[in-house]
Amino acid sequence: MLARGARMQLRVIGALVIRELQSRFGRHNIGFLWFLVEPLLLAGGVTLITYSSHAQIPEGLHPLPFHIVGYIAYMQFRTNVNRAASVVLSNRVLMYHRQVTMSDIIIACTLLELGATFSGLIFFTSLYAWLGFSPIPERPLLLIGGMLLMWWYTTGLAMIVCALGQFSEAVERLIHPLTYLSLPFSGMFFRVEWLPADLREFAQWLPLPQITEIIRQGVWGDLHSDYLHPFYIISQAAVLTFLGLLGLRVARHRVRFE
Amino acid sequence: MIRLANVVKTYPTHVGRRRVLDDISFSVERGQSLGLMGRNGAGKSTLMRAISGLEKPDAGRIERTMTVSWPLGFFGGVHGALTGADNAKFVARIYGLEIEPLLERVQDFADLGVYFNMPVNTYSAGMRARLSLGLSLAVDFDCYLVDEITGAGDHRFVQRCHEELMQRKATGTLIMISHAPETLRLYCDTGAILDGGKLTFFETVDEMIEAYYAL
Repeated sequence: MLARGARMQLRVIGALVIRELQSRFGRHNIGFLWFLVEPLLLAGGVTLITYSSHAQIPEGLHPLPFHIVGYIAYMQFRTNVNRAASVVLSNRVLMYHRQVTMSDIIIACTLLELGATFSGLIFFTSLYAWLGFSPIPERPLLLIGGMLLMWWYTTGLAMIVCALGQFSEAVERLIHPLTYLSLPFSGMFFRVEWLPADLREFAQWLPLPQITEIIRQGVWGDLHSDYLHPFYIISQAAVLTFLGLLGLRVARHRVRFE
Repeated sequence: MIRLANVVKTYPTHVGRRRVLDDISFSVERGQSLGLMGRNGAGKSTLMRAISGLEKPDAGRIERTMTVSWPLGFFGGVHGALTGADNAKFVARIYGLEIEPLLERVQDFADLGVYFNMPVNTYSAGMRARLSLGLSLAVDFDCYLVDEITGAGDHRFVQRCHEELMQRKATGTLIMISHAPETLRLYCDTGAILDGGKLTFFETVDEMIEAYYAL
């Protein structure tokens, strides 16, 4: 019974992933290329600013791979959280099929984002390794683990945002500025180690820099942090997922169908 | 069998919550075909969505001991941004059916020609109805919930539709919303009118139609 339910859910999520792919990247356009252009532009801009201000990135890291790895990690967070409120709305017609649930729709979306950001990460780390800016990822399992952790964490968060979105339209309006404002706190620009001592005490409890650090350690194997708390992040992701699933159950009653 | 027990559904309006379904209880046996009538906005489609499990009632229970289609109307079940064929593949995947035979069945019934590979957004109402009905017939449910789409489409579709629905009526279960008396007389054995949140049942479709005109 449980196995049948799980198989059905996998089928549904698989079908939803394909459906998302079709409308997001289209069948004819170069949607997927845009996906690489965006982080390249942003990380490129940040690098220019770093160069022109003669600021040095500590530990001899090259600013380009340093920032782009941080940005790709942040992208997963931003896209998943931003789209959470609208994704159910745009896929609501598919819920006419009883087996399609709100959590399936969100999981399909975040899985697709995981695939897309991961491809971006592979592309850029390979490119920079080839150019000699950064090593070929030295601890690939950490890199994969970090990306998966970011997926899990942001999926839980997306479920909560989606559930809240069914209660108030303000959620959708507020979430975009909030995710942009969170960029400075994302770990794209820093490692917790580099911060002044008083900031470090606070920053080590921010989830995004923690996860970004894990991904970066996957690229630069000799990076070490005294401020990494994997168990803390995993418990946060688990709690968020639990609250998210609970919230979706309540919010399901409020979804309007035409 | 489908059984509804004390189902309540309310919607917020600017004058407070309105009870669209007000303590509704009834059951539909396998093989029965039930016609539903009611004024515009009476809540017929809400009732259909509740029966299908799409709309969660505020109170009460809904049990289904047979497979029930999604409400077959002009909206729902197919995604406007996808082509008819991609929608068919989606349906095949989530119901665990083989894709190729299903595509053939849908195309054979819906007869959409080149539009089958165009986004559903570009379809006319009649073409949407053909696609929805084609998809649901290909999945093969025990019970079909038909929300006014039989009236759409050209005479060829109406003919195909008639054949398929008559066969379903003979072998399966049917719940149908329509404003057209002749359609209800054709497909349904019994009827019910939804008015003011309450459902009134009639032994025959003719009695229902008479009561409907007196409404």
